[in-house]
Amino acid sequence: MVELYATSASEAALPLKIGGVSVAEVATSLFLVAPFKGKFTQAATVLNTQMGLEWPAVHELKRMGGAYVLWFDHAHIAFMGAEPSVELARYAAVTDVSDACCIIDISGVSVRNVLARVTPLDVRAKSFNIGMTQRSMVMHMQASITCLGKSKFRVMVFRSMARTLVHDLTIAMESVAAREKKV
Amino acid sequence: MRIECPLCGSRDRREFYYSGHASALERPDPDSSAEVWDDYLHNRDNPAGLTEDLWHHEMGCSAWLVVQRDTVSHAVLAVRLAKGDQL
Repeated sequence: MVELYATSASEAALPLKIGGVSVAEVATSLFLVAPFKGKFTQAATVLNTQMGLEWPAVHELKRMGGAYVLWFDHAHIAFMGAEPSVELARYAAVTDVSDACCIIDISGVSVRNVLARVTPLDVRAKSFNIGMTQRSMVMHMQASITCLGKSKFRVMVFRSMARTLVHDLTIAMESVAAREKKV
Repeated sequence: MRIECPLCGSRDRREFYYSGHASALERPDPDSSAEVWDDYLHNRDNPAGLTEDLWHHEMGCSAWLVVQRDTVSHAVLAVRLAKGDQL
């Protein structure tokens, strides 16, 4: 039997540190959950009774130890680092998309300045605070962006865009670092 | 131009994909006459003023939106989820 090894989405491009900002790939499972038509209440009840979590509202991130359950789009929530219970699959379409995304953590004091160069979102702390998750663009890529800490964000794009993500972030990080250099 | 997505809030036009007049949501009865279907598929008004379009929040929450706007002033007047409309 051939042994298969999982490879990381970004391959050797990460981790990366430029100026005061670091990017690291996150190896985590990822599931998308979409309630079947008319089954939202049952799905939310299962999430609540089995995992002790409220269904995440729009832009909301729920933490469960090291795992996250977050709003993903108008129809989906996402489980990151946690597996949805089998019971949930009775009321919702549960899809394992762990190998479909490139997930990175970007952190450092200037992280908001870097993100401001790649997304049209308002990334100032007053509009994008800890525990908030949004869908928007990172350059031309569809992305999920979540604020995990004062200077820490998690960014998710399609796996096929991993190298592009690293490329675009590198340019933004170099530009921010260049502007911050004391002359 | 910005569109106020009912889920995501005020977002840049680049995040949305335009998909024609909202009359696409008013699908005729399957047994309707050929004239009714022809009208539904091909004929559109070209108003100077108020109109309703379908936009897809492609780079955001993926929801289909009905955007009410003024073709003369370019003002976006109202936005709602298309989900609630009859399909």
